Amino acid sequence: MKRLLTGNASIATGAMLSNVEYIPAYPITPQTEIIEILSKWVREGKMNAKLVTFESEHSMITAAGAASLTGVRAFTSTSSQGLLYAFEMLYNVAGWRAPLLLANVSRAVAAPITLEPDHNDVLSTRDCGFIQIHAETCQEALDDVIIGYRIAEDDMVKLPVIVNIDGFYLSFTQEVVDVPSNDEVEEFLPEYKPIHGYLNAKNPISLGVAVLNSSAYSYFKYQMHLASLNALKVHEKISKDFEKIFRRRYYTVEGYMLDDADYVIVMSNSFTTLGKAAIKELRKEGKSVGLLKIRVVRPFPRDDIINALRGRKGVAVFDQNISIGGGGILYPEVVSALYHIDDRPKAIVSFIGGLGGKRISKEEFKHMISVIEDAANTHKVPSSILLFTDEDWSMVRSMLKIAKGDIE
Amino acid sequence: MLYILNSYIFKLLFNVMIWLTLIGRGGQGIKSASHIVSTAAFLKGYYVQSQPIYRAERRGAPISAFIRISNEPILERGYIYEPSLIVIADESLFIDTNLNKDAILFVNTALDADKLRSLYNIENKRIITYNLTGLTLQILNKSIISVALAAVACRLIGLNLEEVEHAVIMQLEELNMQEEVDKNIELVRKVFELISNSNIENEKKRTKSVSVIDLSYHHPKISACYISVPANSISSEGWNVNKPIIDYDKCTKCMICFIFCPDSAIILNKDNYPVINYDLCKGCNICYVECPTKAIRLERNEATLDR
Ligand code: SF4
Ligand code: SF4
Repeated sequence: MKRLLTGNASIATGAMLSNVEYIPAYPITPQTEIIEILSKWVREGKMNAKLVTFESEHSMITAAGAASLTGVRAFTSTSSQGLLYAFEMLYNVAGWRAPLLLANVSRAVAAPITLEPDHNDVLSTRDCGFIQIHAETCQEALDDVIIGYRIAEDDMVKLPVIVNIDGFYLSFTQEVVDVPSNDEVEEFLPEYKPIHGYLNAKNPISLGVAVLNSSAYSYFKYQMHLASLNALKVHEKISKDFEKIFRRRYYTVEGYMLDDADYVIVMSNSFTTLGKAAIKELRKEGKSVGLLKIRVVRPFPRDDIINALRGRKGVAVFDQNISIGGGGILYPEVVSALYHIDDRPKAIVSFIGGLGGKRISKEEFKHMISVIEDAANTHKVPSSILLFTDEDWSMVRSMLKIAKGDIE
Repeated sequence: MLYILNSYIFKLLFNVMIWLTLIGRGGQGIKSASHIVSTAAFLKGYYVQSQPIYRAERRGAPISAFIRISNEPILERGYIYEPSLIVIADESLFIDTNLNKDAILFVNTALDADKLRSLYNIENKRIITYNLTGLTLQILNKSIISVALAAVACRLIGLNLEEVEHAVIMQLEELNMQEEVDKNIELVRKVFELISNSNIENEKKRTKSVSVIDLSYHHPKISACYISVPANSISSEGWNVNKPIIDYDKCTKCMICFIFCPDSAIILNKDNYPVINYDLCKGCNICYVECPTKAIRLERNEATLDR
């Protein structure tokens, strides 16, 4: 049934349809609405779940991991500083191989404080063992929760999943969403029956034990890595099942006007919609341009990226994040995927933009394309470029004047 | 009594997008209003996207909602920089708002368009005003204007009464306010009656051109994020219904008000007496509640008396 839902409501609806049974919770803007909606549904008896509020995200994630291993489907959500506060336990629950699902509503990390999104929060957790799926639309947000549980609980994977949505641009944005029925979701997502690490009073086990042995540590860590890589195959398989039932197909990476494009912008999350609009307009001007959206960020879909980008003249990697002193986080990953193939793009340029939710104007998209055209023709690749305009600077200048007096 | 307003109805033609911005303050029901408008358009079968933006999350802080309605899938997100229609919940918001001069403006006020134009230096050619608060008070017996604002927006966009009523019922059910349905439907019908049916088409969007610049390194005095003035540095004057006044005969210099003021609007003078900076005081009344000797009293702020 088609309904008008916010991104937060889409995530909550995905959790409800997945028959989530345990929801440890802690509020933070712009995520709080998810747990408000879920707690309402639990209270009204629409969901047969237990929602518990915690004193911090650190305990919240711990509870989600432990609950997941007792055999209940666990859901939790947070954002920004909340995710960072839980950081230590993200490594732990992943190491426990607990297939819980965590919705992160991206919000740029302080200081300075802001509410709107970029992806430093979610990408800072890229190494800890969570599968990461990043949503562009409210429809994807809902579907990714259902897909996320199916991947997490697969015996080839058994790892927790983060579904990422952008604060404001998705979390509070209402869009038309095709909401699946309970029956359809039940057909796609079987009941969760853990067969490993099953916490049970009758058969006590110890979890997260000390191995104090480097060989054992290496073994367990690398097993997690292999499990994560397996998720690529699992994703492909279950996407076919998903399509049969829901008539929508998802890929780890998705092209837009990509077929014959010489120049490609790579991006992720909700700003991809803005990128598509810019590509559409540039196509009207006769430019041979396209867009590649990275939907699954962990495991990194290396082969799919190679297939999508080989033979192009120029590529712009748009990072909505900044590794201070490094540059864009996804850029080196894309470049390294392409390095060893003969027909790699002539130029791959790093762009950083949309920090703190800064909008990307049509001019900035056009700028990216003209820079990669130049770089491909001259073989001179500039170092990373911040998308920041004269208008941004005049805004910042006037704020600095208020904050600090004269700034000359 | 039937009021006929000089009004404009947008037409949703093929390949036309309506950009609507609702502007109000936290607590005025802007989010509810935006949900009613987007639901009504959705029920009519349009592609819809709607998003509220809050900055400070508190009652009284400005909040906007951006709504896009189209016959085609919407490849936009976030702020609407050049709305075709702006609906403003009260005129105090002109202080905080940059208006697109080409937009059609609806303002909830008892003033007429010409008065408003000269009072706030508004250049917009088309301004519609109506005292929605008055109308709402008359029908609902309270001043919650979200439904009235939504009805105005829907009417100006050209949505049908049927979908708007349906959307209002859905929104009230969502908020568990079923018993309010009849009166709110009456309010919607009244708004639809008051606004007449002259059609205009959507204006072409004006686009400002920007260019990418290089940022160089700046001294930390500039580039570290701090403010060299107390509090928010943004004036909260005009927010407060009541202003706190300190009676220094009763004040014991305990500093409690100074500590509790959430906006650092109270500083201590050289004798350690608290002094309120009324530019920064938002009228939360916390100092008044906390003062142990009842040295702080409240007075109605003359400047906000007519709101
Ligand atoms: S009412 Fe009192 S506590 Fe509140 S902002 Fe004003 S001075 Fe501060
Ligand atoms: S709380 Fe009351 S007594 Fe204490 S410093 Fe403030 S005004 Fe004076």
